Amino acid sequence: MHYILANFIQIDLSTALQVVLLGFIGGVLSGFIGSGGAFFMTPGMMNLGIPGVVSVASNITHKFGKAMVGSHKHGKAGNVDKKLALFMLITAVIGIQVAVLINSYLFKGGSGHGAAKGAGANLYISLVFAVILSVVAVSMLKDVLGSSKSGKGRDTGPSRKIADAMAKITIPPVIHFKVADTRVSLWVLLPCGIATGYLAGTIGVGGFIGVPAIIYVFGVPTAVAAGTELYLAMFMGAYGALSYAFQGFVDIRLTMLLYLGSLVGIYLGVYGVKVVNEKYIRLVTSLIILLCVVSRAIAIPMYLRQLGFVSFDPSYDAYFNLISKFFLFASGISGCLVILFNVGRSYIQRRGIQKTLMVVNPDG
Amino acid sequence: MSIVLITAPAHSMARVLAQKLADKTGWPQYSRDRLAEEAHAQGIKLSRLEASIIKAPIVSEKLAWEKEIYLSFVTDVLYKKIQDQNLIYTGRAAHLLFPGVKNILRVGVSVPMEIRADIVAKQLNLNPGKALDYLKSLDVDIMKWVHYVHRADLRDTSNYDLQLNLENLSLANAADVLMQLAELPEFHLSDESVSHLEDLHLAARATLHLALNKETSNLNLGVRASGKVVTVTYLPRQKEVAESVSRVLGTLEECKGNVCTMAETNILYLSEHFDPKTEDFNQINQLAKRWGAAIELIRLIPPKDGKPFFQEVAGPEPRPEHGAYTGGVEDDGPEVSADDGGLDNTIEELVAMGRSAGGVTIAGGQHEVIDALRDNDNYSLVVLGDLFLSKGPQASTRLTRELGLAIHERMKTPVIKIDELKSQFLFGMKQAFKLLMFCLIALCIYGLVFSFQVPILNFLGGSLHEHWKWAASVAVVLFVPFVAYIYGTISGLILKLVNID
Amino acid sequence: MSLEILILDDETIVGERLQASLEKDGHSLEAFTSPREAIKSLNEKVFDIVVTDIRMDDIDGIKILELVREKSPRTKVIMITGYATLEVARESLTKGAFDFIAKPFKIKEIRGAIEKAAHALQMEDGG
Repeated sequence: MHYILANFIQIDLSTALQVVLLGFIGGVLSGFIGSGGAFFMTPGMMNLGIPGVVSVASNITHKFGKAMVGSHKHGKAGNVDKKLALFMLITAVIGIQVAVLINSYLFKGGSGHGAAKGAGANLYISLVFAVILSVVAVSMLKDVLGSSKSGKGRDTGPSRKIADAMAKITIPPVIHFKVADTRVSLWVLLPCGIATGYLAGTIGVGGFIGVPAIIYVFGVPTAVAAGTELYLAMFMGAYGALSYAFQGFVDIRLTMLLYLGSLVGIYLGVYGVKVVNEKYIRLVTSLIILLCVVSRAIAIPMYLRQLGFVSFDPSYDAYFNLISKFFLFASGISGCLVILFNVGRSYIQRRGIQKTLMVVNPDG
Repeated sequence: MSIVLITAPAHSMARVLAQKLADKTGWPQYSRDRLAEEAHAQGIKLSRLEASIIKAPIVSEKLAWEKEIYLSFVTDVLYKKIQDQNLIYTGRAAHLLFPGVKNILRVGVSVPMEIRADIVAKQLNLNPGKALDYLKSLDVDIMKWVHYVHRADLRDTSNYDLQLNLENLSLANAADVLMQLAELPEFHLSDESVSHLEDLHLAARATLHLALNKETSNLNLGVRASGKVVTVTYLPRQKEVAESVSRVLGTLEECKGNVCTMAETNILYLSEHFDPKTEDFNQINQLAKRWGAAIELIRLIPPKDGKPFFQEVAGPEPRPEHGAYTGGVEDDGPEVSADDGGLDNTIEELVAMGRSAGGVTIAGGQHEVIDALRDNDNYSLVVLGDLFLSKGPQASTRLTRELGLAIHERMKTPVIKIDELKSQFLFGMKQAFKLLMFCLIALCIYGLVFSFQVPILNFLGGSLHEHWKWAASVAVVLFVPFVAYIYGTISGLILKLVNID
Repeated sequence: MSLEILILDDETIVGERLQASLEKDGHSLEAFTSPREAIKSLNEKVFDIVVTDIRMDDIDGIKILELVREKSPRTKVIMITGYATLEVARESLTKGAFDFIAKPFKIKEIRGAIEKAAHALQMEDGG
């Protein structure tokens, strides 16, 4: 890969188009899933040969702008609990700081030249990525399969089991959040915030953890959770962007190329949510994430070799990279296609006035 | 080999003209008077329909379904009168019958007022002044009738093939003109027109069949037919009737099959008062049109004497059972509150456009609304109008928002306030201009950044960055949201343009 | 206020049903099924309100309307018919009918029309 400057690659047309496509797929996925999308875009960019930390930095910057626009809308709708956001923010900043420190340490601490440049950071990001997302995907899948077994009853909303358990933790200080109408002990808030911030800073998928955390752990209504998370993401993104930019890792071109695809994708994804049933949404989501995890896991041996932990013929790197890339694109593209297919179908359906519910004695 | 539909003003010589045409051609001739007689005889509530025009306001869903029945009746009767594909029919709005069927000669006749006044004075034994008054009022009534029944303006010349002014033209010559015109190939029914007529007739028969069957008589249905298959559309709140509709249609002759469908998407519009003439309503309507959605209305008012209640706008009345003959004097139904905040009117308008999904009045708050919506998840959009007006502007805003959130959470449907509607969903000139401007700005930004990659990257992470770390960070944080805003607006607008909201 | 009301409809049941309900309101009612007998009664006495069917075998309700308007302009005439058309309705109103009600109707509709007529009578008498 040809570098213009220290961390910045030369972007030719094909790379640019691939980044736009990544953005689009990430956008569709993020619109559909509710948040995230970075889980696809970050590794996708790494597969294009962009250093992991630059991918994360550009991604978090990208997310920041997106969140700013989105939270403005949510704010007008009254979905933002600023107090909750503030508390989450303070804790998340600590998390991000930890993440940025680790990332830049690993990046600079690598041997500093040649192919191994950034391999430590790459390995670390890939590992965190694989572990966290496996957990999310598997629990989500379990949830879907479980609820389909338990049968007919319609979902009455997110389970309050964890939230109720957490509500019992009343170690002072307990803070009351007015808009979200919930009480949470600072000692519950703290780890959640730090974890969210840390993940956001490391793999750029904070919201992915943040929204479920807010809904399930704090027992906040979904809309307020999404709005607050977005509001939070704006600050976290700003902070992340600021930090990474300060370190000199933000490639503004990549961010802008991502926008080209992602913002269109988000609208389509959101539209998809309106027209696809909820169980299907979660099923598709978890499968996409799992495939992403596989993709990242496949790349791990390559980073291990670059760091000298294992040894095999360096020419195999290309194959690992190829397979990893294949899985990633397979997951993103197939997920995206499934969503777009549904969007397209319902788009056409909506154009017609009615939906046939029942056909009785045709040709009878 | 022609169907001639002649629209003539009341008390004109049009019937004589039609008779002359019939004499010349030997085609069967029929007129509205006879049709009306037959309608009365067959128990069509034409009487109520006609009287409703004079006794404004025209009300409610009940009559709207009666209107459909009447139109179906007209279609059925006239279809049967067609012999060897020939028919001459004169009526108030004859040219609007068999809508959409090609190769039918649709004629308008105008007769000077003085001539008609003379006729009336003799026929009704009125003095000339009164006769003129009578005609003027009657013409207005008939305009209203046509507007109500056919959703059209009599004066709209685009609906006629020919307008005849009988001021100077003799009736005999006018009949000649019509005959010659009717014999042109353009006015011979093609196979396509014939099958179109057949479909209209089947739909009409199906409507009558459903309306006269006890099981389905009190439903408000939309009936279409195509290729001998009848499609019936019912409102979401009538879910449980789908089966009876199918069963009843099963006994209809010459009907190959039937499909019973429900209006797919609904827009729910909550407000304290409604007015079909407002821009708000118009916007929702446009949206419904684009989505092919029906609009359901909920009028939410503060509970009376602290008591919440729930009242559905009455649907069509069931036809009285045989045996309980009342001589047309029926017992009073349940009381309806007098002031309905324009609900009836608005529903009437929607029904006329085929977009009504019914309406209810709910006295109460959020809780009552959610309760009422419990079993219905068929909305694609919920629009909140003016609500909680008695609580003062700030509380009203908050309560409206909370209601919106509650509905959103309950139904997972987008909820929007009426004033946001235009900017969020519809595309107008203003949006087009905005799109253009934003595109230009975006083009500039992207062009500049990619033309000056090296210095910019140098500033962001190269040697320049070493000296300008803070400036670079701040620049990124300021620049990125700007790009996101510009391009986000563009993509939102484009998707709105192609109808993906 | 108690009103003298004449009801004319060639169907017995109409008179019966209206009589039962309107007498409860304190009005005094005479119901006829034969137009000729109704005319006889109209010649003998002045009614406050006349409710007449339009289409009857013998004599047209419009004729009754014309007769009443001629004899007693103060009397309010309410037309009822199961064969309403715009033409007939307009004719009735042009010829001085007070109100026009299409069959089938609810009893409260006719009661409402009678109340309105009573109100109009009161205004005329008072002013």
